[in-house]
This record gives sequence, structure tokens and C-alpha cells, in this order.
Amino acid sequence: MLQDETIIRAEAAAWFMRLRGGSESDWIAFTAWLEQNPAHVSAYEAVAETDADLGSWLSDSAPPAFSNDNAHAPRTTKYFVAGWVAAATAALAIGYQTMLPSMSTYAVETRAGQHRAIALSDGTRIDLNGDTRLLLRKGDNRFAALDRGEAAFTVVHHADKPFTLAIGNDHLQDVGTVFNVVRTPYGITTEVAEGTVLFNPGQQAIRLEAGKMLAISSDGGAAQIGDIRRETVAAWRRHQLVYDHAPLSKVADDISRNLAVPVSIAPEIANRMFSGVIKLGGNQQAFFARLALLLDVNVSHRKNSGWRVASRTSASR
Amino acid sequence: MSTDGLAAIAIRNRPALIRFLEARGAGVDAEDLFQELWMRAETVLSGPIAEPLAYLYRMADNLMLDRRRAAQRRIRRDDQWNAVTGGNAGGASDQPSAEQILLARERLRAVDAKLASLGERTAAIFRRYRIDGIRQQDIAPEFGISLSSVEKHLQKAYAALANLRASLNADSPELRRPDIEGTRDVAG
Repeated sequence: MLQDETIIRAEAAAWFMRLRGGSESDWIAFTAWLEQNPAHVSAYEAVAETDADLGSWLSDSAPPAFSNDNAHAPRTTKYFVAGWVAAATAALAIGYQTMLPSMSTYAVETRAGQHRAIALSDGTRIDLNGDTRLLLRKGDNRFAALDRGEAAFTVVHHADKPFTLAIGNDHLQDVGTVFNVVRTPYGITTEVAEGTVLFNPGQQAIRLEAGKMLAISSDGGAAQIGDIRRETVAAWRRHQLVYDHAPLSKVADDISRNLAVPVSIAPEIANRMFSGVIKLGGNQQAFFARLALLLDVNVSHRKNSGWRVASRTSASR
Repeated sequence: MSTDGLAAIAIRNRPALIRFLEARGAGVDAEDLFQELWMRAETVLSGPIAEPLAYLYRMADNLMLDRRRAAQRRIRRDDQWNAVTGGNAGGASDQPSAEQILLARERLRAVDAKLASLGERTAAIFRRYRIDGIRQQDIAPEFGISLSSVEKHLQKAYAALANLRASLNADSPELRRPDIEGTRDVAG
């Protein structure tokens, strides 16, 4: 019956989405669903193939490089699909690897609040902070890409094959190094604890020695270089956050990433500076109560939006 | 060294993976496909994989999808061979023919119309996901909605497009009926 088919396809679509980031137990549950009814397999296949078809239609619809101008594609069709074709061409230029599961690159991801250490076969160690996504390449342990979040790199140096970290369009290259990188929608911050890092070698080639930090905002502003205390780099690995003149917006961001809770900050104090050590841990209520004293701010909790850090005066109206 | 990774995990979970392949439509070929999966797992260099077993399931799923698409390509190529003399019967053509371009655009237009019928928001979210390649987690804040809402929009889009695909295929059981004459000048 047609109605049933539609329902089954909706279920199949739900499975298809769920399995994109599915865990082992999702796949086992999916196996059971497939076994329930033979129609389930074909419905799932239909969804998976719809997805694959889209890919081939998009690449087919982009005009071939040597196409003559007199191919009679109906104008109306052209008009309707223009956006898709442009998008497809762009997507192809970026490469489908970023959108589809690829055999050569794989992602390591942490949930907010979760830490994870990765040991590469050459002895290089990467520590991931919470809510972080890192891409690695199979068979190439000298490359990583930070998609989002924060990671500390302890790199074994090979003079002939430097370790490269891609952060969007920027690159960091190690010269025997321990360094920490944070990537948020607002920008990139790199801190070097040991050795030297080259930022965008071949272009600006900014050289960062141990004890230096580099901050680049994503709105295209100038790069800022500052001094840091080397022992504070990647202190999150020891469950503490160490700051020397950091804006409260950064502090809030770090806490959110480390504790897996939304933390927002009132705009009027977002740029207020803080220096000191924040110890993570303990229960959340107690932690935020401590934080309020430490930062001299008002901290409140709302059910839907998480923790809110605001100025004491504005909150006490 | 690399053998003690994914391949070993595949062997340990052989019954579950074979069961999955069977359920996924491999039938009597499940054993053969498991062998193929295992060999592919062998070639994957050891390294940190977040959830190796889930990764193996995904590999198995892709294997099934590849297999089915390869079979479909064969059928289409035979069709083309019969319909267009001197077409790219060798099958090694990377450049789509004019026909294929037209067909692809036609299909995308139908996809576009279908998406539009689901509402602007669903259509926009689907485009961000499938065309721009933005991850669901990143789409959520963009639209100011929760991750599960993003997933619901995407499910809705995929379900609707699967329905569309089924109806298109029902209208023209042979996907590639070359009734467009005179556009062959572009074909290689």
C-alpha cells in the first residue's frame, strides 16, 4: 500500500540520518530493523541512492570543461538549476571528501566535556579538549586538520618531514614542538610551549617561539602576537584554566568547552580582562558559585540557555 | 603492526557483521562481502579511529551501496550501447554526455520543486547540508534551532526525495531514454 511505503521511507530516512554518526549500538538496532521487514532494505536503499544520485546529478549538471556554447539546454531548466550547478561546481572544487565519508581522511571527535588523547605511530601525541573535531589522514601521520575546538600537540620532529596542522585555510608547521590550538567561529589562537611553530609557512611565515601566542580573528583583522607563560599552555589537560589578561568572553568559551554546558556572557563585560587560575571540577553549582567570586561577576542559571555571566551591578538592578 | 587494528576487530565481530550484510541485502554473498570488507580493513593503516566497529559497519554499508550502483551502471551502459551507436560503450567516460547533463538538470529541477514544497526552512537546511557540506552541528546555530530539529528537517527532506525518486522511476522505468536528438554534438 502506498501509505505504508511512505511511512517506511520516512523511517528509512531517519535511519539514514542517524547512521551518519552512528555508534555500534545504532548499527545493531538498524540490523534488527532491516530484519523486521524485507521492505525496509529497499526503502533504506532508496534513501541512500537518492543521496548518491544527488551527487552524480550535481556533478553531471555542471557543464563539462570543453562544452560548446551551442548545446541546447532549455533556458528555463538552466534558470531553475543555476543555483544548484553553481553550488555543485563549488562543492567539487572543495572536494567531496569533506562531505562524504572518505577512505583517506577520518575524523576524531569529542563531545563537550570529554578529553581524549591520540597517539600517532611516530610518537606524536595529540590531546583533544571537549567539543573538538580533528581530521587525520590514513597513512600520513604528519598531517592533521583542526575542524573545530581545541587540541594540544606534542610533536616528534623530523627535519625532512615537518608536521603540518591545517586550520581552515591557515597552516601551522612545527619545528619540534609542544603547542596548543583553539579554533572557534571567531578565530584561531595558538600558544607555543616548546620549540617553534611556523604559521602559514611560505606566505606570511610568522615564526612563533616558545612562550609566544598568536591570535587571528576570523573577521580578517590583523594577527596579534603576545607573550604567555609556557607552563600555562594547554593547562586544560590538568583540569585547570590559566589566564594572563584574557577577556572574559574567552574564559566563558573555555569553560563551556571544558564542562559541556552553555555559558554566555553579557556584552558589557565580555572584554573585561582576567588573570588567574580557574580550577575545573566539583559539581557545577559549586563551580559557578566559586567562579562568580573569582571573576567578581553575577552568575545565574536558566533552564534553556545554560549559565549566564553578567556584571554584578546590572544583575542587581 | 597494522594487522592488529581494524581487521582484527572485523574478525572478532564477524557474526554481527555478516548478520548485518545479510539483512542489508547481501543474501548468500554475505560471506564473500565479509571477506572483501576484511581485506579492505587490512589496508586501512592503523591509527586512531573513534569507534572502530561503527566504522566497519559504515564500510560494510558503503560496500553494499557500491555494489548496487556498479550493477546499475552496467545495466545503463548496456542500454546506452543499444540506444546510441558509438556512444561511450567503453564506459570509461568521465565527462557526462549532453544527454546526461540534461537529465541531471531535469532531475535537479524536480528535486528543487520537491524541496520548495516542503517549506523554505527545510529546503535551506537541506541545501546547507547536502550541497554546502555543512555539518548538522554547525547548521543548528545558523538557523537558531536544536540539533534534533536539524535532523528532523533533513529526515523530512530525504524521505520526500526518496518518494520523488520512486515516482520518477515509476514514470520512466528506464532512466535513460535518449529521445533528445541533436544534442549529441557535445558527447565525447
